[in-house]
This record gives sequence, C-alpha cells and structure tokens, in this order.
Amino acid sequence: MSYGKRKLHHIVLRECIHVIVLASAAICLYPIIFMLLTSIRSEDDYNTLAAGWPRSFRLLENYSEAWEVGNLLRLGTNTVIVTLLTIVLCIVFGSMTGFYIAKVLKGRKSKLLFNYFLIGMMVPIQVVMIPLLKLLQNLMLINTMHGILFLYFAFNISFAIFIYTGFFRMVPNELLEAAEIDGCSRLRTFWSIVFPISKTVNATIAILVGLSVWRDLLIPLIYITNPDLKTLPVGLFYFISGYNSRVPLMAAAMALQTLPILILFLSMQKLFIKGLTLGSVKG
Amino acid sequence: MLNNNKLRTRMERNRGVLTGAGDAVAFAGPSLLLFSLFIIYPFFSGMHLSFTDWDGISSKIRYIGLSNFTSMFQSRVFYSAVINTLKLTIIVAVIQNLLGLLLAVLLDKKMKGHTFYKTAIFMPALLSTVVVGIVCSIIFSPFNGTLNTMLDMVGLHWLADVNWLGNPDTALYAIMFTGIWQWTGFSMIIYLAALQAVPSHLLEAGMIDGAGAFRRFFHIELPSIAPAITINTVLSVIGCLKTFETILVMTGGGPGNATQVVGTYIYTAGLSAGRMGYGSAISLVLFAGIVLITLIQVRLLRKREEHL
Repeated sequence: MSYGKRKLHHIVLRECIHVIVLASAAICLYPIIFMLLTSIRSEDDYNTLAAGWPRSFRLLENYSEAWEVGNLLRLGTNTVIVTLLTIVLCIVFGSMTGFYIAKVLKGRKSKLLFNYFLIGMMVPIQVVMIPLLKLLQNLMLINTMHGILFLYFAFNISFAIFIYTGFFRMVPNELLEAAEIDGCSRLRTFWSIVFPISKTVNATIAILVGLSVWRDLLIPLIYITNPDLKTLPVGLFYFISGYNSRVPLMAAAMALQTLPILILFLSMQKLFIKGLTLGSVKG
Repeated sequence: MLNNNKLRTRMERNRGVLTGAGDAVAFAGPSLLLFSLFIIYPFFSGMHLSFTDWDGISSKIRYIGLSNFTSMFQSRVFYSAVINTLKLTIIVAVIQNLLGLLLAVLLDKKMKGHTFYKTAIFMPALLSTVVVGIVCSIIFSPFNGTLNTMLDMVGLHWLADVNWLGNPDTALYAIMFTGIWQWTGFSMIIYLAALQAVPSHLLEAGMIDGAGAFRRFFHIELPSIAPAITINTVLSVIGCLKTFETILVMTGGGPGNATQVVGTYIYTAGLSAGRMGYGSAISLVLFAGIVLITLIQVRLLRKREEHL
C-alpha cells in the first residue's frame, strides 16, 4: 500500500517535470518556428490570422524577393568575409599572444600583460563607441571593411587571449624544452608543436568569435554608412522601417540570416555546447 | 652529421637574435597594438571628450568643463534610464538564473528526450538580437500579433487588447520578457555542465545517509556548483547593464522614455543627437557602474562560495 502510494507520487512528480520542461521548450521554440512559418506564407494569409496555420504558401517568392530588395547577396558576402577574417586573426594572434604570456614571459611581466588584455572584457562597446567614432574619422577608417575588421578584432582579442593563456598554462614545459633542444626557434616551436595541439580551443574561439561578429548590429550601424558595405544585422534593422507592413518578407530575410547559425549548431551541437560552456566558465 | 651541427649552431644564433625584443614583437605585437589603439586609447579619449562639446563632425572642439556632467545629473531622462536599467537588470538576472537553474536540475535527470529539450531551450541564445527583437515585436504587436490572438483564444479578453510595446506601463516588461526568453537557455547550459561535473560518489553518499532529493540538492549539489552560480550571475548582470540592441530594435527607448536605459541613452541623447561630449559623460557613468556592480557581486559571491 505504502509502496504503491510512493510509486504514484513518483509518477505524478515525473509527469509534472515533463510538463514544465515541455512547456519551456515550446515557449523557446515558438518564436523561431513562427518566424520560419511566416517566411513561407503569403501576405494575405498572414494578415488574415497571424497565429493561424499557414494556408497559402509563397516560399520561393518570399525568399527571392527578400534576397533582392534586401541586397542580401552583398550584405551576406560582407558578413561572411568579416566574420571569417576576424576568426582567423583572433585564432592566429590570440594563440600567439596567449602562448607568449603563458610560456615565454615569467612572473610579474606575464601577469601584467595578461591583466592588461583582461581590461578589454570589462569595457562594453557603448563605453567607447563615441571616442571610437572620432578615432576612426581621424584614421580614415569610417566606411571601410578593414576598419570594422580592426574593431571586431580588438573587441574579441581579450577573450581569445584569456582562453588561450589558460590552455597553454596547462601544456607541460617538457614538450617545449624538447623542441628547443632540437634547435627550433620559438616561432617554429609554436607553429609546429604548440599550435597543432590547441585544436579544440581553436574551435571554441571560432564559434564564439564567429557568433559575436555574425550577429553584431552596433559596429556596422555606427561606423558604416555606405549601404554596400553593411552587414546582415544592419540590413535586417533597416527592413523594420522599409518593410514594416510586409511581415512574411521580413521573416524570410531574418530566416536567411539565422539559418546558417542554426544549421551549423545542429550539425556540431556537441562542439558548440562544449565551446560555449568552456568560454563562459573561463570568462 | 657535421652539416646538422652547423645548422644547429646557426639556429641557436638566430634564436639569440629573436629572443627578447624580436619574439615580443612577433608574438604579442599585433594584438597589443590593435587592442591598445581601439580599446584602451578610446577609453581615455572618451574621458577627455566628456569635458568638451564635440558634435561628431566638426574639428572644432571646445572645453566646457563639467557642464556635461551637471546637465546629465539634472536630466530627468537620465535618472529614469538609470532606474530602468537597474529594474531590468535585477528582474531579468534573477528570473533568468532561477529558471535556468530549475531547468538544468530537471534536465540533469536524463528523462526521455532530454537532448531535444536542451537543444530547444538553448536555441534562442544563438539568434541575433536584431532577429529576436523583430520577431518579438511582431508577436507582441496589437495588430494581428499572435500573443494577443492566443490570449483571446484562452479567454483572457481583458489582456488581449494591450499594446504591449506601445504602452509605457508594459513596454519595459515586454523587453524583460524578451531578454529572459533569449538568455535562459544559455544560463541553463552552464548550470547543466556544472551539475554534471558534481562527483557522483558525493550524491551516493548522501543517498546512503538517507538525504532526500531536496536535501541532496541544497547540501551537496548547490555548494558544488557555486562557481557556476558566480559566473552565471556576473555574466547576466553585465549583459543586462549594457542592454542596447533589443531596445533599439523593439522600442527605440519609447514610448516616451519608458524603456530608455543607460545603453540606449548614450546612443539617442549622445551619438545620434550630435552631443558627443554628453554621450561620453554618460558612457563613463555606465562603465563605473558596471565595474562597481561586478566587483561587489564577485566579492559577495566568492564569500558565499567559501561559506557553502
């Protein structure tokens, strides 16, 4: 009797947990599914009842029109280029500087340089966005792709150095000493021995830096005025004023910016989650 | 063999040249240069700008002493921006962490389909804030917005007419909801990783000693994940204090100044109004606030970590 009661208790509890989790998952997914469903509907269908199930579809037309009017080929190419270049620069220079701090510099010097870069993690863009405008004007970097590339590098490098330094501190010194005895220069030791073992860290940096650049609105919004040099988030931001009344079109444009991330995430979920947790635990 | 030795000495000589200055330039030079030029230098030049009346375009810059700061402290909008920022930070950070922790605890018990749930709940954290902002604005819209349609369907007619983002009483809460929606999954993932690292022999020992699920949670798991709590709360508080994009996209700080926060106030009253000195002064307040609150938080939480 008491056993049966206990079992019932257990089942009720388990079902409650299930309901809470299921409801949370539904709430989290709803806006994403809503966006995807809206992006394939016709405007009339959407305007009749937005919350209803789509009845008349306009998949290809919506996407191709969004692609055209949003100049998405141009903006997409810009975003891909600036994202990839920032990732490469952050991996190359982040790992080199991290190695230098962890293994070459000793004692106080090492700590000083490390802390200097850490300041970057405390300075949000809003704090420096006005003086940066002046600096970029003086350096003639306003409205240039390399200008925003420098900014993305500067805003992400602190974090990259932080992660790499933590990783290289755990690399045994014997490994480096062996290479040095063989007469390798430091740069060679680094590129042929140390860099190849930091693959997982590289992946973490690629994911986190890539996400932050791909999704950023503020930097291109402020420092780029030439419409041909803007990135996808800025393009979406301007969709609000231009195509406010054409929700399915806007949804298609948003889906085009979002789908690459979702596809990458779903195909490399373990790596993403590992990278994100590593990144935050260290941060 | 001889050749090899020769090579080795040459390399050693090269290494002699490279060590010290050469290495420093090669390894740390580029990062140091770009970081100093684009983060550290602007930070100090911002301090300098906050005492001027620069308009963003002209090369004429006039010193006006402390008047940016005095007009800031006399501005009602500034105070409401500070209050809104604090309100948003407290509410979002608390709910995001409690919900994230709750979901992590529930999902830690490997139920059927737990990978799917984890993925689904985490997904909003991957989206651009612009996308999240636009989609949520559409959902909250009073014209054919799906939220109001659903409220109407479940019988909450009195709620179904609310213009969530257009009403000064509800706009900030709609923004908060959006923030919680976007970031709870992220907190959950960090808590989950910490919970999974709790050594199982501790929990087994607790079970043998007859501790129930609740006691095991509060006395074994919670103390073990204290570092994750510190990280999560610090990250979410900093994230909330610098909220910007969500509000820019969803309300632009309006209606009135009902959703104006410090981050958006720098942009609307400083950058886009051409009052760069004024904007820089607010930036300094934001920075001081973030540093101060983070330090206090880390202090308190570290103390608690030791205490537990």
